[in-house]
Amino acid sequence: MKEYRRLERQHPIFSPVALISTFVLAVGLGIGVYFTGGAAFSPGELSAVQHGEVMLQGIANHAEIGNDCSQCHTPFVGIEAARCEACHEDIARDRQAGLAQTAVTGPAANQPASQPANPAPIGLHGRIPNAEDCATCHLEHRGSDYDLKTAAVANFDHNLTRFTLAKHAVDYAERPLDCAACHQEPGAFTVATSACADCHRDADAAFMTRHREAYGDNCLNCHDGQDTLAAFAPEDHAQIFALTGAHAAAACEDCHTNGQFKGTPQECVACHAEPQAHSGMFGTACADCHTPDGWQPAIMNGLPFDHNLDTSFSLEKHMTNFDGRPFACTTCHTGQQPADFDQTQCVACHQKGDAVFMADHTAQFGLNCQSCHDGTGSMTNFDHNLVWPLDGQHTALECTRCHVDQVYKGTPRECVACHAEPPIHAGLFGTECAACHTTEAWLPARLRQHNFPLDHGEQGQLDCAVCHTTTYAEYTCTNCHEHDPNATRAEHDEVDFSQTDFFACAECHPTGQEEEHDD
Amino acid sequence: MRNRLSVSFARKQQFVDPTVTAVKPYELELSLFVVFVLTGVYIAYDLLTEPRGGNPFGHALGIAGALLMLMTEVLYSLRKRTSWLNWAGPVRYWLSFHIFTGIVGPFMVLMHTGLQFRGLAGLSFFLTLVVVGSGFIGRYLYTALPRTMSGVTASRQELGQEMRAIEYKLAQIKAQRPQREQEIVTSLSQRTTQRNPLLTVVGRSFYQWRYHRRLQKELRRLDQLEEQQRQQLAALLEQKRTLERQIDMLATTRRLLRAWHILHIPIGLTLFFSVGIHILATIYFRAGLFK
Repeated sequence: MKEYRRLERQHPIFSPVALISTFVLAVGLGIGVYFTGGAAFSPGELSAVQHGEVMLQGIANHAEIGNDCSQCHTPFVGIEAARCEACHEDIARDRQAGLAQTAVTGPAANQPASQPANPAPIGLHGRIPNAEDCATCHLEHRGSDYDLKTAAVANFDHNLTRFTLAKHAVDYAERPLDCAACHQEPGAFTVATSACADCHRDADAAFMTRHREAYGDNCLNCHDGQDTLAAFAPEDHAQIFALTGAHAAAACEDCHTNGQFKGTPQECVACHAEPQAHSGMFGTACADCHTPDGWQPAIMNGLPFDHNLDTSFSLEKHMTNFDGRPFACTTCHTGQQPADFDQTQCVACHQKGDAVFMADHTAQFGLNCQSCHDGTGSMTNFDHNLVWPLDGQHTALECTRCHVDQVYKGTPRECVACHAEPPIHAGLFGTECAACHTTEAWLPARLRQHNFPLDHGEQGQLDCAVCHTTTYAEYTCTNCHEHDPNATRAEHDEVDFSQTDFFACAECHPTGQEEEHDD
Repeated sequence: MRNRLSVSFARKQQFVDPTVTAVKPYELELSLFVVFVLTGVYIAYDLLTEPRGGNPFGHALGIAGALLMLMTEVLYSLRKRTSWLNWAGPVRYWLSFHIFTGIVGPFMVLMHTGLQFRGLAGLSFFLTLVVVGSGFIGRYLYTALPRTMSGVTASRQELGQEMRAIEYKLAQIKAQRPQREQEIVTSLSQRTTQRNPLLTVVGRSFYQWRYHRRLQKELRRLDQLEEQQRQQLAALLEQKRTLERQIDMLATTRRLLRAWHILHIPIGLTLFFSVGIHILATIYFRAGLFK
């Protein structure tokens, strides 16, 4: 009975049978674990799914790794990207490229999709943040038929590819789009251009054909799936090349030929050939004279230049040569500078039109063409009478009688410029010829103009010598009127009175009437 | 220090004891409630997230479950079999806690498995199931042994004394009753079948229940008996029959319990050995923990 009590109080672990059983079971467990190796610790079978015929390091799929845990698990560290990338070298390259770019420009994922997409060198895994945590997306030990590549897609942010699916949820027939709609190669996530084009052709085949001819087949170069390049705002283009003025209306393909966007030259001459009119005279720094608003007007010395308005010679009739060729600036401006204008060029060219006429014309009018011609016409509409009437004896005159040396501009209009005052006349009648003479003939001459009334304001017939005491070109009023200078001055106090005016009474008293200008 | 503590606790116990003994132990209800709540949390977690190996929630379940199981195994034994923890309250509280941790711990481990039973982890869980099941069996065997007031297993001699006291009380009651009623009581108190002790150990709950029904039915025939006396009589008869059974199966139960210990203890220790390897492997392979 005592023995029972002692046993009951004693812990059963101290029973030899229990101790031996425990030892046997524990050793059995240890041996079992040792011989089953990794299988004892595997929480599930590794994936046996194989993508294509690709073998990495001689292994077709994870299941072939078997129970060699250390292939993927670093002791006391766990799953490391380095272990994965020992086989998946392409992923390692992508990831390193991504890290390299991140070091320069910040995280690739944060960069706006509107930047020119260039997905090839970085690859998908270069864009995924924290891509070194492979197991975040690619789970393992989930059974032999678990596809850890496809399964990762479920949690994959497609925007990381710089191509959002926002506008690619359904096709044109409103049917939902699955991955394979674009990623047509089984097990791979590449996108063939045909995948884009085949579908989008349904919407507008003609446009697609034209668009592909213009831009080529790499749709993803420009499109991010958001919409048709709307993400690439004018401001974005302006950072590269401002689309102002006439460039705003230009079609993309006008500059971006062959689908090339990068490296499109920005110099004017890359698109705009220098016009023949320039003839090498102005160089290719177009912006010195021209703006994107239009070639005309060009800017010269800070102001818009128009040859027709800003020079005395319009180019209205000087666009093509006699032989039909376009006019070049150098046709007239033979020197290196626009100001170098050689008048002989007019004749040299116009001789080709009518040599006989030109010979006669130049003999008659000289070589200073611009003195008559402004380029708008061949002087056919010139009316000499609007400048100076050619009537009377002047009608039959040779032009050169007045226009000496073919100088037409600035020709004086006064009679004395051509007609010297005859000696009989000299000093007696002045040079206002028209007061007595007409263009019909010098004789007979008679007084035709007398500004002051000949009857001195109803004073009756007066003798010429009453006023014209010396010559007919001068007069005096003081023979009759009071001529005390002081009294006259006092009387004209209120008017500004100069010494000259003092004797020019008729200037203020043109009628001779009493009380005239007395008020 | 320990003396002072035990003294102060004893004083307190004197005052508190009557209330405490009146409270029905509720560790089973509490365990089931916690299991229910944990199940809800687990389902919510499964629905709201993508469950996967190596996440903190799964690890927490495993760590907490293992700790609870370790407490189940160690704490109650320490309190019961050593004097180190005598100051820390009566053994029955420790038993309640033992039952609570013994249910909730393995359930948390079940959730920790994610219902995947592979390799060493699967073996560990299988051992857990065996140990828990074995624990219930052990408890059933353990309760087959009669105990003195101090909780120590009663000896055959003590049982004999108790039997004689019951028989004396029964005789007193019987003496006051008419002849017909005396016969009924005698018939109820006598055992008619001699059963295999092993069968008694296994089926004792059933036999007890059957005898209880028979008592209630037969004692109703004692129509002139006051209700209080009828209850006393029923209690005495039931106690007598239980004692008879206990005396019958005493030796068998002790043998069975020793055999059970030889099975239960090594399997339990092997379980902890296997869990230890499982934990070391998790740390070695860094399967998602402490990343």
